[in-house]
Amino acid sequence: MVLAAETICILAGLLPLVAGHYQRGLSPVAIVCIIIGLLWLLSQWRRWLGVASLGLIVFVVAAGMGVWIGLPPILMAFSVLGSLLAWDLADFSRRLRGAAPEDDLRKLKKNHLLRLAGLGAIGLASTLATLFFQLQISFGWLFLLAFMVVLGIMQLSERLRRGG
Amino acid sequence: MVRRAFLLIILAYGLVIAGLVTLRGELLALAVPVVLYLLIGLWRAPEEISLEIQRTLDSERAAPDKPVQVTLTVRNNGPSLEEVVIIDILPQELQMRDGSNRHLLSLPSGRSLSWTYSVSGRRGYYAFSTVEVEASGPFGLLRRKRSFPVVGQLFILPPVMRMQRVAIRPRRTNVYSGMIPARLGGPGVEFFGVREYQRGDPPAWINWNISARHPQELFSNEFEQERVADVGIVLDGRLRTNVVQKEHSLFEYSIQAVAALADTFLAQGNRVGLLLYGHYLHWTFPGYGKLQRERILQELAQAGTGESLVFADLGHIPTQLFPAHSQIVLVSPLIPGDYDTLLQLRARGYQVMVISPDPVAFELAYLSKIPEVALAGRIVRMERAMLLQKLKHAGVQVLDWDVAKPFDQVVPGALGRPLAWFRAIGR
Repeated sequence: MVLAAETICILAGLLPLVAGHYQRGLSPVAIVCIIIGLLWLLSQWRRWLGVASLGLIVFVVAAGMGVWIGLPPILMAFSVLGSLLAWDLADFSRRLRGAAPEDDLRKLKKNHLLRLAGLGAIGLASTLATLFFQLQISFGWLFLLAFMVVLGIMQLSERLRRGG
Repeated sequence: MVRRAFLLIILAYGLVIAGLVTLRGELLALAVPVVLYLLIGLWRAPEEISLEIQRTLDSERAAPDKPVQVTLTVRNNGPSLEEVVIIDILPQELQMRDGSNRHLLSLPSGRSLSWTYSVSGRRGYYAFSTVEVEASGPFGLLRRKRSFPVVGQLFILPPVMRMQRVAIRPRRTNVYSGMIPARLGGPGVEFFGVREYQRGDPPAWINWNISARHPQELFSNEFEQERVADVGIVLDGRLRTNVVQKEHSLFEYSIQAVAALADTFLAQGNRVGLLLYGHYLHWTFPGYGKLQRERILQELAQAGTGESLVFADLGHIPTQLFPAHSQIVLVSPLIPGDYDTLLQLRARGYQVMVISPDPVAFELAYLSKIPEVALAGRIVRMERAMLLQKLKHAGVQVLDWDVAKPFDQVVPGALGRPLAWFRAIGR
């Protein structure tokens, strides 16, 4: 179940990127994405650690590049969401491997997939809303927004440091 | 898993900065799912772990390689834990037989769970100390670890072979009746001598043959009293004397012998103490009965070999621990330097018995059968035979035990009866 979901998510992250970049003629980026995507798919069976993180970074960077060069943002958003969920499922699979045979993994998997599905739906809806409803803001608001982002990230880092 | 969260933060930060710098709102939109994931992951991260954990073992004492059931019960007294890994930390040498000591589960608040696994191991003392718990939020972004002290212990005791009797004859016995000949006339089984008839003697005791030769007098038979005695068992744990071959140690056979001897002596009603002589001295005070048997077995479970400059030879056996003229039983493979110490013990009046697991036969069984090894074996065997012969001449009762034969089968023939000349000369 998790393996199938992860495969679907990897393909959901890979295909929009490849299609978009290939159509624009940026085939080297498409080839890199295909190689990383194949490695990522292979890593599910070979249990290679770190490939999922590499895949997420490459896919997000490629999606950002795609938006910058004018590829359809919806496709790129799909790609980011797909790779994010695939990255999460890769780590979840790793955690499941430490379980005992008698553990109720079915319930754990079901709960996790439901949570991810919810996150995916909310994430997609939020992204689409952000894409379709655009506001013109002044430089002052922009500066405030940037300041809040930095502040938020600092808070997050602090919490992570304490939590870890 | 902080590293995972940092990766997401960097990605989200990168997208936001790129969006702000290039003034492209679409880049900001790409960051939305990443930020949402982060927020949910951090919001639902576990705040605290408050568990009540109990571990029960179906038996705190077991035989080697026999499975012992361990049941772990966990109750969550805190907030719900979405994903929690619970690991019962096992002592290193224990082997998992069935089930698992590690579980991944979801534990709602107030819920209790229990599971059972079984372990086995070799002779030893195993202390269970902690249960490690690692809880994480829904996406595993933040993890919180906590160790719960849950103590427990497991003694894997050496096997105890049952023997009929081991004949000892110390010079001094205690006041209570037992099975050791006390060199005193009185009620008993073995004939001891003849004395004048005393009022109250049973007619069956009257020695009619001698009485017939003395018409005016009657004579009665006297029997040897049997009493309990003090027995001090010395277990040689010196590394230099205990051969180890392919993970098999001669020391394990010494342990078997001590367990069997202690059990037999205690079953006969004697007072038994145990001295472990290795890289330190460990003395188990003498005692009687089942409790003492349990004490000795627990000490044997923990016993190991070791090296010490001070206790390199047997010269530091603290004789003040053993009552004068009592029985000392040394279980040791022996090395030539031990002869003098054993001689001194005899000179001080102790009755000394040496149970010596044969290190030569033990080691040869693991070596290749080439002529050089066979020759070396013969030489060492002769040296050992000479040492044992000298000990016998010094009045030490010696059992040269080839460990290929079970101890309980060797003892009845060799130690089942006191040596004839011991009885004859009354030493």
